[in-house]
Amino acid sequence: MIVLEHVSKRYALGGETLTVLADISFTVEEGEFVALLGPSGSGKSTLMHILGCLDMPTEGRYCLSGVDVTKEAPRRLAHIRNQKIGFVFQNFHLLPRISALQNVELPMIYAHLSRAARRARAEELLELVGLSNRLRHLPTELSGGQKQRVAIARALANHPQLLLADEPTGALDSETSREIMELFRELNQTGVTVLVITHDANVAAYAARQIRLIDGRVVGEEELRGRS
Amino acid sequence: MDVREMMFTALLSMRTHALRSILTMLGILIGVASIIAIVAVGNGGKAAIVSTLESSRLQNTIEILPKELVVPGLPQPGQVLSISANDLNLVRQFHGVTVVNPLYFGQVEVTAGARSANLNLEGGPYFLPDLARFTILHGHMFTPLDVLGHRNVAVLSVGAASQLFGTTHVLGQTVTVGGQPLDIVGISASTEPSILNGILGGGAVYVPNTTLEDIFPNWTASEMAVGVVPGTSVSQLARRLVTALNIHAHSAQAFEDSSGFLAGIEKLVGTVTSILTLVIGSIASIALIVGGVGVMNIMLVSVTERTQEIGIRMSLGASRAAILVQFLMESMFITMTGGFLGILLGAAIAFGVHLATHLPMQVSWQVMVLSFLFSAVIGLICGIYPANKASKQNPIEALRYE
Repeated sequence: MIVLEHVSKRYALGGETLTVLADISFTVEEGEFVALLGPSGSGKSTLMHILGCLDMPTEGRYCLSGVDVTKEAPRRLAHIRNQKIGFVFQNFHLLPRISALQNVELPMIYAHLSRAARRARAEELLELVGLSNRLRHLPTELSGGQKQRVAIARALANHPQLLLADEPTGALDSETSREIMELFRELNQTGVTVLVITHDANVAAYAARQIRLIDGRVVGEEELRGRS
Repeated sequence: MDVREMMFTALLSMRTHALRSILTMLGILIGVASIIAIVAVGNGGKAAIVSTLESSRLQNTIEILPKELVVPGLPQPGQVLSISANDLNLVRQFHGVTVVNPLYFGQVEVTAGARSANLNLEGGPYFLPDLARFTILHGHMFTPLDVLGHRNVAVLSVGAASQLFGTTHVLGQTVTVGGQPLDIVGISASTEPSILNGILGGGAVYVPNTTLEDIFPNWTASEMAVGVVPGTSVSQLARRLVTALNIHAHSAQAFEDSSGFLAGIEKLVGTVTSILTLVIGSIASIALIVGGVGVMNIMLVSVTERTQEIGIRMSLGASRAAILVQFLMESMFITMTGGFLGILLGAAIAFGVHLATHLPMQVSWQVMVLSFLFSAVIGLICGIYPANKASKQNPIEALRYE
């Protein structure tokens, strides 16, 4: 499903070359729940941007369900983000001026779904994340945990093959974090591939497999329990 | 992203920054409003002048006059300055012509007791009020008998009476013109349309043409009023008369009938209003351009403010084209709303001018459609740069932007 082969990312800073990711290779199978664990500065975010088709590796190949995305044009990449990837961000990144329902509808607007189909799917998803009574609320009227639930519902809108979560609990208290991670686990059990990027070992503990990243290198993989 | 969705987004963004959007569209609004108002009042004024000129034409009468000088005071080759007795006799021989009355115009000193004034003296037939456009306020107009009998009578305009006597109650008194005392039988007021009144007004003394010929035997007629047998084609006869007179004067440029004269005035009025409209219109276009620059400025601010929104949209699958179109729509929405409100305001201003001054107005739908389209084009042009900037954002940096 995800195949990274010798992926490197380097930036030219003045005369020096800064290596953020060095020779990273790993595979994530469909239906897995994987955590990318690493301290800040380990290159997690850069890796997440590459996995999310927002950035391109300097070297190496990245195949997403058989497609080498490093060879795709920007227009195709937008389509891949829309259809195959669902993002969940640390700071939720909901549009502040539109309701929870409209936020969930956004990816489906770019997928050219009809108004009625969007509305039905958005209501279904918000119900799935337990927010059926908050459809018309603006993000400012929601708690942190509720906002993250809306963001997760939005990420699932177009039936993505990969749910990509970047520090999804970074802005939440421990109780809410637990609830959100439970939600990810439930979603994974229904067949969604989940990749969580975190520095928090407690968060990573929800995953079935951990990939540890330090200074832009994979330093270890650990199978925590059988694949669910 | 379909059009309806983009319109919704644009509307939402406009509503969120309502005051800012209104201030931004103000430039476009004022520009469009002034164009609409100027064209409405200009067209209305032109139409009013033309229609009063048209309606003032007399039935069964042809007015023939020497063709106007191209350069005042400088006669052209073949130019005729006045109408001779021969010309009058020539016209009298035509079939269909009932009567030919010469009309005289000149400036003379008129005295009444100790006071005197330089006034316009006009000599003509008893239906002079129709030709010179005045009406009798007090007393009566001189009669056909007065004309036939070379009687020493005069009608004074209100202006002339007040200049000579300080009052308009002067019936029965006398004024002296060229040494000849004349009895005042009537007081007249001009019926020229209000627009022309100021230009052509002033004191005038009207006398029978026969009386004037007696006092000033060497004056030549400056116009002739030709009576026509009812049922005759006035325009055809007028053309034949003018042709005959021109042949007689050995010039194609000597005479014209008043329809040609009117057409000339209409053309002149049209030219003047078109030039005025063009000049004021270009000033209003500057307002539109300034307004467009304001829109571009606000759109640039908006793109910067909403960097994170752009990043989020891109991460959710918005292509660069979709972002570009979104911001273009917003900019066009602002200018088109401004244009629409400007059309309403412009029409309201024109109506206000109409109420205040009684000048007619003609709101032209072509100008409305054109200015609406123009404001859309301004939105498009002024939105391209900011929208392009928005679409070129790096999604990673845009997402990080706080």
